Amino acid sequence: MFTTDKDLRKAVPKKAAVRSTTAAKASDSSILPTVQIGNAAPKETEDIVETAKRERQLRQLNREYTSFALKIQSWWRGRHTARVWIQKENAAFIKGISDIEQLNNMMKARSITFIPPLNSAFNVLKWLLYASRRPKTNKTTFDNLPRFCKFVWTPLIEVDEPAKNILCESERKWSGVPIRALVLNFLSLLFKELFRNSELSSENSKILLKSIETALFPHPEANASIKSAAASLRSLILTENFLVDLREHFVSIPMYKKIIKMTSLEEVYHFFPQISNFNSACDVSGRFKSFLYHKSHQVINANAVFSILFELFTAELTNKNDRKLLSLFVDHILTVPLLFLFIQNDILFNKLILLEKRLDFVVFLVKYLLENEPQHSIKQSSSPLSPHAKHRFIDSLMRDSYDSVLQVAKGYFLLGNLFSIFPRCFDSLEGEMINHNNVKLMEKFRFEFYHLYLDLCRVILIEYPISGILQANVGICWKKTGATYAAIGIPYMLTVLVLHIYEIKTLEKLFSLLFPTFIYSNKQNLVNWEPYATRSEQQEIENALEANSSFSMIKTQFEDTGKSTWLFQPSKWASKLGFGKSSAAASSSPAPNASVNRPKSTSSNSSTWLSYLGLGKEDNSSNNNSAKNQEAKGLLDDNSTIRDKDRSINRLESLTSPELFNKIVNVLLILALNGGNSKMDSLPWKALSFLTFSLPSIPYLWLYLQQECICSTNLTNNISRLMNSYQPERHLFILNNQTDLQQPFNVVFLLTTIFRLYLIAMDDTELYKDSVSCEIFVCCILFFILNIS
Amino acid sequence: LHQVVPFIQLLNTLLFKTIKAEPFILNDQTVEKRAALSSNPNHDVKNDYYLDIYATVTNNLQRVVSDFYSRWARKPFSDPKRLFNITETEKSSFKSELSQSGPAGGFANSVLRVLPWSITLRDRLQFFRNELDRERISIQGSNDANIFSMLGLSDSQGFRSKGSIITIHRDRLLNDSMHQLMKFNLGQWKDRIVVRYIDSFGNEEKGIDIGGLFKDFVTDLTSNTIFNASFGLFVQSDDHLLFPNPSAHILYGDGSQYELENIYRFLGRVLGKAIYENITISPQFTYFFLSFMNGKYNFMNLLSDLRTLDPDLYKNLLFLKSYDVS
Repeated sequence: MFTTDKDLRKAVPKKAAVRSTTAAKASDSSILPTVQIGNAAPKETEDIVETAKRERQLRQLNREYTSFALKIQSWWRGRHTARVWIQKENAAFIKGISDIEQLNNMMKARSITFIPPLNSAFNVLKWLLYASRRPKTNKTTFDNLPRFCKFVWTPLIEVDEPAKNILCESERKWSGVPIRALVLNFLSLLFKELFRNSELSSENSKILLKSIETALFPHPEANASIKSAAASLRSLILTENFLVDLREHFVSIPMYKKIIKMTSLEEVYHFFPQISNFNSACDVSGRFKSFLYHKSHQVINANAVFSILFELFTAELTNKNDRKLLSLFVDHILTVPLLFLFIQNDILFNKLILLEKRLDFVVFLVKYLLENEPQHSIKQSSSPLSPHAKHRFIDSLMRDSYDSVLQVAKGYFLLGNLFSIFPRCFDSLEGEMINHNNVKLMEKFRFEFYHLYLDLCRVILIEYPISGILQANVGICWKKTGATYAAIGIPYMLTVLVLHIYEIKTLEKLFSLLFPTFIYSNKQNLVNWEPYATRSEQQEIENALEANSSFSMIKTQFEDTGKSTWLFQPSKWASKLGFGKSSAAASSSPAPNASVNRPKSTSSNSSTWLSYLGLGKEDNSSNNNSAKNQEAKGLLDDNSTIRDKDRSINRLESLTSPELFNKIVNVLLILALNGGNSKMDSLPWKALSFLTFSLPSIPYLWLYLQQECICSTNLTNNISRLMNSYQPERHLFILNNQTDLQQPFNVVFLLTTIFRLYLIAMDDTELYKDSVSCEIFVCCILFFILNIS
Repeated sequence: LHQVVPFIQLLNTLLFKTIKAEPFILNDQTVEKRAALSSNPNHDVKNDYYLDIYATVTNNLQRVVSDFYSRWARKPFSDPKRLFNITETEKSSFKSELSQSGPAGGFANSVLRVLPWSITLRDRLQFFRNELDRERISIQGSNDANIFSMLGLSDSQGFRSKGSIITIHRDRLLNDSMHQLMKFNLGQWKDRIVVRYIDSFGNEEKGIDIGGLFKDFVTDLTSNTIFNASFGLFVQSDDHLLFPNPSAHILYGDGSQYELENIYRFLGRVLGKAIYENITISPQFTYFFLSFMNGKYNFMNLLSDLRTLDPDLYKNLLFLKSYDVS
């Protein structure tokens, strides 16, 4: 009981007693033992220190717990706040779009075009771009992307008033952010969304595509400042980062993951032979789609995006001739694995290699191949993996990530992509060459096709020799590079292509090209052949010529030469002479009208390309000259004949240019050398036999050689001069298109390769008699012809 | 023909220049070496491919000129000095290299292998004989001390080698010799072979073989035994030239081709030994058989050489080729 007030007051312990009290509390809580101070024993002192340490740790632990709890609460509050804010902003975004849509509908009902205010549009756009950078974006945000495009973006870029058009405002800043950056990021977002979202409906895809197209390619009648803004946007969008980014999205889509894995599956080996049948009307991508993804819309998106990219590049190239842009396009887009399996046939062939419009792009690709010859080619892997090893590799590949294949195989996939379109290019080029027989079509023939065709033949034959092709008779070759393997293109396609080159028809066409070039190059010096034919021999030859319809045709044409007109005539004789048997049927047809206007297919687009590529310079310059003449002299009818003559000369010069001759000889030489190395009865061997026995190769080549050596006095001395000019250390000229002094030796080697086969069937009698007259026969034909002239 | 001549000149010169620039371009060892190198990932495969093409071109050149030379050898159509010879300067460099490094020299060796026609037959024979004599005497020794200085050898090997002794029954010349000689290795073939004859009564004939008996043995073996048409291993053409009997397997096969092959292999070694020892033997072979032995067993030479095998067939084929159906 409390007796006094002192008892009611709180007891204030003395200092010494405080410890005692604390100790007592600790004792009460049974955590710490009773502590005695003062005259305590040493053992008890150690206990006290130990106890203090434990107490300190406990306090630290408590502080950490408190800190963790605060962090968790803070994070959770942040998350909660962010979620609420995102929901709020998203709702505001949707509401903003809905409001704009409602306003748009209302205004539309009143037949007024509604242009959303730029400020509101930027607010919405900023949110879209922010949401696109988040790893987990609210699905509803991108569900509204088509609506945004339709009601906000498209009106803003379609409006013809520069003050309201978002493209024209791109120089300014909005809230400290350059508008140009917002626009570029939004376009990038649209591209990615087209690639990434496989569930995008076709209607929404069209909306997104239209948004891109309208921004990059404004209406032709749009305001000039809008056009200029779009052009600058186009050039900006073709930056390296953009393409790299796009490529990553392209190859990281789920479909590509599947396909990269599919390339290692055995089924592909059965599949590729089917698609290699490019001659028939097969729908490559259609088969592929039905094979893999018949329910997916992804192929449509890939087609659309590729189409836009292609338009983008070609538009820029027409304007600027920027080689870097095209290289970027090739490096980042054409190296996408198996790209052309995703592009539909019509898109691919109409957009990419359609002869009248886009062949120049293929010209670039060939030049690209020629300049950047692949480091690895099939000949290195002439002994491909054995079937057992291949299956073992496939098994191991299936367990690995597809990324290693992708990284290693970039160059190979570029090759594969290019070669997957080359067969079709090849067919188109050959089609043009066949059409050349048609005199009317000759008028619009572009001679760079010949050069392109020959370049293509040469690069394919050098990079992919027939022996390697025949050994590696598989759909995909696997090449070991370091620790990993890489797929080498689509060699099966290539196999078909190489074998196609060896076909007799192609050989005949190639050789027939030699004839006009040969005639043209020899016409100056053939008078010197007179000592090699006696008068009686000449008479025999004349009789033989009269009896031969084809030679009488030559005679007729060279009689025209005497009137100084044959060079200027449309190439009736050239088309007949140069293209063999099939041309004989056209001999009875009347000469084409010289005033047939050359179609204006050589547009500025193509001429720019060609001048950029270094091809057809003469042709272009002559076209320009012709155009200048036309401009200077007006479009008077009197001048039409002169212009036609100019065109005829240009055509003839193109057909008889030494460069073309050299290319033909080089391709024939590579063909012949491959034939000489192959087994008998193989296709190359048959091709070589055809070249030897069925075509008049030896006389033509020998005469060309003589023409190169000959001068007015002494044949032997000039042969000696030719011998002295030979430099064996420059033997690589066989594979190059050099036009220097070494070129006659290409002819010598071709002649020798053919002669080797010819000698098998030639007996001694022919050497002493017939062969002599044979050579003289051909020489005297030309001598006779020139005498006539 | 006046066009063929400059053509051959041109090819011959190109071939010679090529061989001078790349002496080993047609060497098989070089091809194998390149193939081994190509397995190295750092190896420049592209350059190898160019070299392969270059080798093919050179090979074609060589074959064409070689064929022309064969035709010229059958029936000369121009002065060989004009056709196949190389310049005197080149010839002197060739001879100097040959005298310095012998056949091991790259350029001289390649010239002899690839375009032998550029050196006259007399020079080639002399070189060939010298090389064989040099090797033979270094292995077998000689009793003539002067010959060492003539061939540029040291006289430390002056003692004549004892060689290997073979015992031959006169009446079993082929069987005995084949039985013993086929066991010889290359070194024994190149060394002296001493012959001891056993007469028909089983007694050893007197006489010491210092070369004469072996020469007699080779002559007997080749002229009277193996190449005798009645022996069945070879038959004669109309020109009395020999070639292997296509039906020999019936006579010597006894069911296995191995025995006949052994006989022909033995025969080849005997012929080689005869050339090595400079022993003249009488039989002459047909051109097509020589072509086969020369390595030209492709059909480049078959048609022209068919004339020595079956002239009628050759004529008929030519007639068929030139027959005008119209």
